[in-house]
Amino acid sequence: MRVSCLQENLAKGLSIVGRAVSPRSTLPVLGNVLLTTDGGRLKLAATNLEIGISCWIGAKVEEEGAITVPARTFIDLVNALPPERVDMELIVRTQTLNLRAGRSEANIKGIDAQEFPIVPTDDVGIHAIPVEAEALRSAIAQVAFAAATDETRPILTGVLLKFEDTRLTLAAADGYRLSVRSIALPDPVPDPFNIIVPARALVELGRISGEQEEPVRISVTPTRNQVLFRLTDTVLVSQLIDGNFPDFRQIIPRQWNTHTVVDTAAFLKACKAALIFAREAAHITRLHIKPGSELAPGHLIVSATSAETGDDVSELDATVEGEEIEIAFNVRFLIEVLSVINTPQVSLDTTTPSSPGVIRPVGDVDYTHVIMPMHLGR
Amino acid sequence: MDMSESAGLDSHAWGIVGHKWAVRLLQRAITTQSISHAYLFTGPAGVGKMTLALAFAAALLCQEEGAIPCGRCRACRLSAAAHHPDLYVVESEHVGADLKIEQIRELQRQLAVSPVEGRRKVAILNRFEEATASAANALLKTLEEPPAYAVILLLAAEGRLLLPTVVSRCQHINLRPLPADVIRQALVERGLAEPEQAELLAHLSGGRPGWAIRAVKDKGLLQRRAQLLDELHSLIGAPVSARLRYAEAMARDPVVARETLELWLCWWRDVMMVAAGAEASLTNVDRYSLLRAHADRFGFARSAATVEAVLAAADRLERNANPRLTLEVLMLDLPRQ
Amino acid sequence: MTEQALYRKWRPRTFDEVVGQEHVIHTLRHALSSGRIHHAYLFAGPRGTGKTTTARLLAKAVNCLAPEAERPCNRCSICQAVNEGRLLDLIEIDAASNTGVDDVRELRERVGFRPNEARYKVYVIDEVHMLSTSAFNALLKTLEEPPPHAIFVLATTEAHKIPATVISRCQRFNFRRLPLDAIVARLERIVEQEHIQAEREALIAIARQATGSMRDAESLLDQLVSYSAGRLTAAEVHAVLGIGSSEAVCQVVEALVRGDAAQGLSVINTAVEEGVDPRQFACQIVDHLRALLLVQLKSGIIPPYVTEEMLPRLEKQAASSSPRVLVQAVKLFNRAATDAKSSWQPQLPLEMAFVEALLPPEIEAGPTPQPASQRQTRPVSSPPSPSAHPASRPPAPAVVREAEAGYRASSVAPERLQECWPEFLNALRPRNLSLEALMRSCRPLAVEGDVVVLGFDYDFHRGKVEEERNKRDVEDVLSNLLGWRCRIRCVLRQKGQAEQTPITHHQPQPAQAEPPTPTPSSDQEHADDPLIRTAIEDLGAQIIG
Repeated sequence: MRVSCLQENLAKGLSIVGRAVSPRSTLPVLGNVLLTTDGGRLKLAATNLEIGISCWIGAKVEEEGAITVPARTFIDLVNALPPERVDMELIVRTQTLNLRAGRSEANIKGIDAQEFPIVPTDDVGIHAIPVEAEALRSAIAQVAFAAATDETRPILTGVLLKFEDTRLTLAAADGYRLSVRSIALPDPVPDPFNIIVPARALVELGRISGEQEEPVRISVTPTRNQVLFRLTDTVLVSQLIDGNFPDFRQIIPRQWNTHTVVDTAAFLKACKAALIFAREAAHITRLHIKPGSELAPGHLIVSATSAETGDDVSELDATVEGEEIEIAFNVRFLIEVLSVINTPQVSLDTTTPSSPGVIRPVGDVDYTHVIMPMHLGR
Repeated sequence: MDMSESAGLDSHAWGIVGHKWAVRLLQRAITTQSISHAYLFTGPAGVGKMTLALAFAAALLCQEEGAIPCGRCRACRLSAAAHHPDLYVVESEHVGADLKIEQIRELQRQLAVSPVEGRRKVAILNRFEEATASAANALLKTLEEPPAYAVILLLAAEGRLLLPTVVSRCQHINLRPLPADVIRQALVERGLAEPEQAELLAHLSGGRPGWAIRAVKDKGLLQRRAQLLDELHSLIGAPVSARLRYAEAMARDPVVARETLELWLCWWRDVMMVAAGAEASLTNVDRYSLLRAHADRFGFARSAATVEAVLAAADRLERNANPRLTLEVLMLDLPRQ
Repeated sequence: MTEQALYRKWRPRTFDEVVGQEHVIHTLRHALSSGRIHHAYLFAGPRGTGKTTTARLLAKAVNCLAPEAERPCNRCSICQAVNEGRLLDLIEIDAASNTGVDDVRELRERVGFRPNEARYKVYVIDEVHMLSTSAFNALLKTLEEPPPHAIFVLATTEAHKIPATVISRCQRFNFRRLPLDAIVARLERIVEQEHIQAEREALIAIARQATGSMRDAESLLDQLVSYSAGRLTAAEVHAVLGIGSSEAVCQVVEALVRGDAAQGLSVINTAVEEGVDPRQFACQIVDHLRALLLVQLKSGIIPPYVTEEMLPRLEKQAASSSPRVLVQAVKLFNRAATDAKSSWQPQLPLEMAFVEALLPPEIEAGPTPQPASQRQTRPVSSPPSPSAHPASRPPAPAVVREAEAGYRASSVAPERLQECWPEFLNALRPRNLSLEALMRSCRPLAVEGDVVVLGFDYDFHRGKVEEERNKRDVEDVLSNLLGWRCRIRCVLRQKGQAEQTPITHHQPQPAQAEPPTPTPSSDQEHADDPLIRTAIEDLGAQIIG
């Protein structure tokens, strides 16, 4: 292998694939980055067996070839090089990569590329579904946080991706809340299908697709073991989680007794204040919702009490339809969902103090967040 | 017992010495597509648990469907080098250390997502008796309901050392020590030893092919044995003070103490067998005349009592008693000239 | 992909399918139908007896959408979600990996959440005995004031490790080991439904192996079905499990009765060479000896595993052996089958059980060599060497004992004890700090048999250490250190006396040593013997005639 590229491009590519390196794995090769010449470009790849990232950078290829080198060393070295042309050559006999840039020269011992796990990048022959990048990014932000973080039920650490007709629905639940976002697809999907992607992989996708403007192309490998997210010059591949995802539609209440609309920012602020006291009381925060009259607006009263430190009450103006109600929620969960709602106003639908509450951005019908109330005790 | 081969399955294809019934069981599980999600392989160290587990894993991971791995595909090459990304080997840091709950959690995280290259993920948990109680318990749920593509292989010296709730969730395959003849034949067939040497190693191995193969490669092992036996012999004639010095030296290194006691156990058992007139299963066949001499001198009851004494000492050491006290007491129980 | 294991596939989905726990199911159903739902249940019992299964049934029953009489219906969305393991409101926690107080605190916080879709949120805490004390205390608070929508099922195989305060908050159900015939019946049903051909003897062998656990039995069946090419035979079960032939078992017992060491050891060795598992073999011998005892006592009971052909031989063996020897042998082989001793040489415990059963019982009390004249109460037949003749055994035993006794006193005790005293204090410290301080003021004076004599300067100190709890702590730690079970005796030391006190030390008694069982003189007394009673009431024993 003999290849040249710009230090800047190499460093940038490595910063992307470096996120998938797993340095402490029992398989030493997973601590390495794979370098492969690919057409007129250089492909960088890394995997932790859950997420794999491949990235192509412009290069001048003089001789084809492939090698893996320890990621940490390689990244540190490249970052220390002057912003010039970098010449790399593989010495096959010793599996050593020779690097030259300006007046520096380095040799890094590598591991045979054959030992590197296969990181699929090719969606040729598989049906790829284009999805608008910004919509996908925001859907990930609104859904992934509701996935479970503990591993007792692996399925709940994943996000369900449901492709049906012209919609992609993302859903995550941890047993205490549920987040569902639906986005429009430019073309209808020929056959509907579901996959469960680890939330960690989607969060990573959200991160590396920050500058992506073209649609992200999503495809599933024929073995149905992996999903590919193809960006410009980068592919993220994630393993899938196997199993039955809970029937989330069952959990979304179909009616309400009280429909409340408040200012999103004010509600969030009131919750943050309540958190100070709720922290010590299992994060319990009471919402007292009072309908208004023809002359006066309705109210949403957010309060939290701690036996040790004191209490806090915030009263917000609200448009309330239906009955008065007192209900309690985990305030951390309220803060998390209110932080990802982008509309100025938010609605909260409730039926009884012991049934789930539904939070939706006003004016955006495609996002639903369900949150289980807490038991108020005596 | 009927251990005959069923037609069409070549047990040697897995390169396993003996344990034909176990190989047959696993190969049949593959051919009849009735692979269980969890297996437990037990047996003394060196009997072939890991060899069997790796062979089974290679067959499960091979890209060609079938009970016999093709040996040519990418999966087989990676399995052979223990580099297959869908093969996990989890064990404690070293023999005698704990297998920790964090290691189990990490494995569970990895098993939760689909295989990277093939259809399956195989996890081998070596020396599972070293798992802490919380680690073993943490594995229970995974053992009971793992993802459909996962096969979990637990290896342990004995099922008894594990939680009963773990054992009952696995198909338990207990590998028994092999007849000396099977080991002798394997050593000769594989060109590892000349017939005479093979005969001796087969007996010394106590039915554990792994030990025999190690002894072929590591000449020091046999020398060490010879030295320890010589010492044992001279201890019998030695004064009390010399015995105590010996105990003190032994107590300094738990590995040496264990190794010595293991050898003594073997020796006094042989003496007891010779004294009783049951000579078919002796281990130390190369020193028969000395065995005979000890048997004649100490007799059946006395040699049996010595076996008991060594066993008791070994047991105490395993339960972390003070090594020096334990070994000193043992020294007093060794027969004397 | 892997096949779903039989025990998962055949997990009962209705109360009627639960085998062998009628007492539990009856009570539970009755409570459910009369609307008396508790908020905390304790399911205690051995592995594989249906605790988790029943907990899931309970979760379905309390949440099922069908009319009360039909619950669980296995048709409604809730039942189906439970069966497919995706009901969000059924939370199975394994206590073992969530032992800490933080985990339980998190649970307490989460308990406040209302269920998603079900009436009740059911928390199944498996292996609950693994929780730490502080975690139990935290759990207790939750159990004291459970929210109305929560049901806790605490499942454990070791109920005795659960604090009484927790148990008293729970409705307790004891799950029993399943009787042999219940397991066989269930296995027969499974093979019929799965279209598996199997000999009844094969199923009986599997059920015996499972020792009362349905899951064990189903796992074994699974394994053997894939092993067997066609019809599953008893011979195949024996080959896989390492079960010896009953002929070999009979021969070993015959050798034992005749006192023929060479014959017995040879049969054992041949069996092991052929692949018989030594522990299995020891169990089989125990079974045979039990049957022999029952025949000898003319109990009229024979266990189901004794065949017609075997009976005359049993009677012959019974005629030529004494119950005392048999009871002792049962104990020894039982120990070989279950003992946690070193696994360096798998067949050794079995061989030693046989050898000890042959020799008079003194040998079991400790490895101290005894004069041959005392121990050779029964001759070892066909001795190959002159050593079997007591007269020719060098050296003169009495001399050995004397020399060794004197030598022991000077070497093992108590100077060595003195040397390891700091080690002892270190080990004691984490257990009882003030006791450790007390013990600093005393010195070990002598070792008398299994008693360590400790000398104190002040009577107050002595009295304190003699207190029941302190004494136990000292003995435990000291025993651990010495590797044998010791007791302590505390004496007051006069100034300057300690060093001159004559020191005695006798061979310590190993913890497992038991004095020989006194032999009752009549059959009636035999029946009172707990061991024999167990044998009579043994799993599957039946009265014939």
